[in-house]
Amino acid sequence: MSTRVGHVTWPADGLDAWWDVADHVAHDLAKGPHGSEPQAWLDYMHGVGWASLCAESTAGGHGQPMSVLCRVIEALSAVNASAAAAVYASAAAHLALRACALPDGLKATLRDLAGEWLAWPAFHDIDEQLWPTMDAQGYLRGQVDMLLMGQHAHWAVLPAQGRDQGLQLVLVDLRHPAVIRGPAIRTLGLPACGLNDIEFGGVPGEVLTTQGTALFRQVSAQLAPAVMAMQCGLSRASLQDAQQHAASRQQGGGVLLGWGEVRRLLSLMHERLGVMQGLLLAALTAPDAPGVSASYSALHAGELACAQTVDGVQLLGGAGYVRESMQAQRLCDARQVKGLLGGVAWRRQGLFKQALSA
Amino acid sequence: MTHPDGAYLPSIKDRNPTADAERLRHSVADWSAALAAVSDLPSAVRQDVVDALELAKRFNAEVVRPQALSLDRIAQDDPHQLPHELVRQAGEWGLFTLWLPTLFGGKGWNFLSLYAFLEEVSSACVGVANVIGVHYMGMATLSASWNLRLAHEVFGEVSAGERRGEPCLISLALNEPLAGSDVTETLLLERAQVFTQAEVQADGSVVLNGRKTFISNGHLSTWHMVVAYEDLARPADTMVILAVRADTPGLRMGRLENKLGQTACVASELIFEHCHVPASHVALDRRLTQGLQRPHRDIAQTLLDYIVSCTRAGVGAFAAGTARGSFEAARDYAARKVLPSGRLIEQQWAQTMLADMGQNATLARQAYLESALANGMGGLFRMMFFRPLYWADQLAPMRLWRMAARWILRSPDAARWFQQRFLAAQPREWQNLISGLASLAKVAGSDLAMANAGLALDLCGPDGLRHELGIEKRLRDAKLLQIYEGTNQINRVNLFKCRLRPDDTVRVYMREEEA
Repeated sequence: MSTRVGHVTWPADGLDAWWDVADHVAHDLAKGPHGSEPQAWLDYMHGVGWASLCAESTAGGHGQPMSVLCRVIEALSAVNASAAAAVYASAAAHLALRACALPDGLKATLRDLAGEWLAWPAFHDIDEQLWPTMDAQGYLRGQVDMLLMGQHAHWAVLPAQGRDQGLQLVLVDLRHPAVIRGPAIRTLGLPACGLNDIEFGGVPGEVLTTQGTALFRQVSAQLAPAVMAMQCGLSRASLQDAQQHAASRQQGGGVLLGWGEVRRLLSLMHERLGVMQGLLLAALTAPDAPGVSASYSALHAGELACAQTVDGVQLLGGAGYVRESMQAQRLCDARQVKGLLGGVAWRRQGLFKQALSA
Repeated sequence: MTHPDGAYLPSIKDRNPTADAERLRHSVADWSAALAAVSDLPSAVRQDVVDALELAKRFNAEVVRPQALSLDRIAQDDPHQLPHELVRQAGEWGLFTLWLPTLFGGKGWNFLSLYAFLEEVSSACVGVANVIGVHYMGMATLSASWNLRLAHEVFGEVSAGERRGEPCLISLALNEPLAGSDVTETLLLERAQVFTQAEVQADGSVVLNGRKTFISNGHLSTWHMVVAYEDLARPADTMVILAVRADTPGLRMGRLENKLGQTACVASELIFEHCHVPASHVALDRRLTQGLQRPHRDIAQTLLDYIVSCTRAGVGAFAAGTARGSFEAARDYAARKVLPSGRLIEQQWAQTMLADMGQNATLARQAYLESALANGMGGLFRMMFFRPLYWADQLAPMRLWRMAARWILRSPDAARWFQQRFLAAQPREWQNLISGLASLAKVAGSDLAMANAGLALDLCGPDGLRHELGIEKRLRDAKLLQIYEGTNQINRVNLFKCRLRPDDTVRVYMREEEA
């Protein structure tokens, strides 16, 4: 188990036990016999039950609260943010399923899905792209960009343009022959979370709700702490590795830690991590359901994590800039999580619009 | 003109026009190198810059842009691939001799135009710019030693190689596995963990042992300018600079680093095992600096300052290009992207973000131009901007010039004269000016390049993360700018040391236990 640099004990029973398990699994994934092939570690995590961490417990899922999801995601992100993104995507889709008032006919399907990895769009807001349309016969046509777990999952929950021009949420079987799954997209970070574009050439879809926009936004806000947890994990690991490197690497007649500027940077990294963990705890312990403020916190945590991972590479120097280094990957992952899930410039505008109308 | 206290300030006519010209020159450069350069540089320098920019734009359109992303993709999939084809193409365009003085068979473009060229190419791909820039970094190292006989041999091969269509590149091997930023500063070098040892033999030849890491263009270069040390316990006092041919027995290439960005430019490990370097390939050592009336350590620092002042200004040019490339890519994306609220480029907040990015790119350019101009007036390129020599290099008939060159290049007296003038007699204030401005250009430029890469990703949203748009690549590329040529942290201390501390009694590079 890793040294707990920057580790915070959470003010809730049992959560640290979840962190211990998640940390163990994460490190097992990193060094164990599961290899670097995503399918191998997805199978391993599926065995631990993380595909259905937030799935409805009455339908056979684990039904865990957001705090547990965050603890798992934080621990995983420190070692493998792609794995954390897979857990995030599946949790998001399961949460959306839980939030829908499903007709009886679909409840049996829900039970089938309870133990499954599910795919979910890698966007924070529903307005960020055009969605496939549902035709008069209930068939899905068009393309969805950047589907998290789109390469690996059998089912996806995603928005679709309904016949009445409103956005719906639909459940789609990705194994259908009219589904064309694109190859994994080459992006900055999260290289193994099965991110791809998918084309639908007339695929039957089950409408989960016709209130797609509201529900998508509700799930996004609900998941803001999970995004922060991902950034916290990346930031904590960055700090830990930088501090260990500074304590061992010699430069100019002694260890790096003996230089005041290195200490200043490390202190700044501690400061950032403290702020991020504070924001995360505040979001998780807020009496009301997460709203715009949690999304703003996630946005700020994204900024901090990007700065943190950049400083982490800087402190490791050339050793942190090579692809073999986990820190180089963290820099890319933090930026990608910020771009996809946390916040970008136009999202700020959207959040402010929501804040004004709240 | 009346002063508030009633005294009269001197009018322009009353000023003393016979003030010490060199002091005036320095004090103006101290305030603004660009202003000093107005009267100091030959006017044709501007033409070279314009020509270099035009050449770079054509090179970008025909060579760089069509393959920048595919080179990056190939390097990501197979980091052992070497960009031989890119080097061949750059050679075809004459880019490895364009800034080589005509004295050595080059085209003799001035170095200020090299920086402009590097910025322009960096706006398309900084990795490609690095392949070209690093070659001139090796060239600058040999030039700074003023070993004209050796320069004649090495540069002659560079020139001949290009004529044959077989580019001959030069690398600079300075960095070591346990010593990176501290090898460019003698105050740090004396405490650094360096292991590349040069054992000087009785006949003046050298046996080299050790290894160098993160050497740009290592696997692609024919010559390596290697910095080693006779006594590893006293590296600052015993620094040796050698020109080592890639096929020298005892030198072998080690691993290729699998870098996150700037993948077009390979970073290599060089391993020296009883590598015997003939005396004629020793560019500078204690023997050669004897009689220069300054301790070898001071000569070593002057030489290191000359080199890194050129290369850090070069990193500034890379950074300015990268910052501008991010801005241009984001602007082009914003012009295409339509949001529910309308075109992205017409959103006021997007326009102000783009304005910030444009501003950052311009500031990065101003920073490296100050440094490059200072190098032209008091650094390594001073000689090249000396008007009579500049015009002789540009205009003298080639046969006449070569005859003179033959004498100059082979004369030990000439080399001695240059070494005395440029290594031993370099004024401290100029050394501090060029070194400090170079650090400023490097730090400011690389930070602004990173800022722009981040802003571009913020503006372009999820699309910017896709490799095919080339925006995320600029973030990966930009990060390296903050690390190489001395980390930004070391450069900040150097800037303080050279330009900002109140006086020399304020100590720098103090460890916590010493403070």
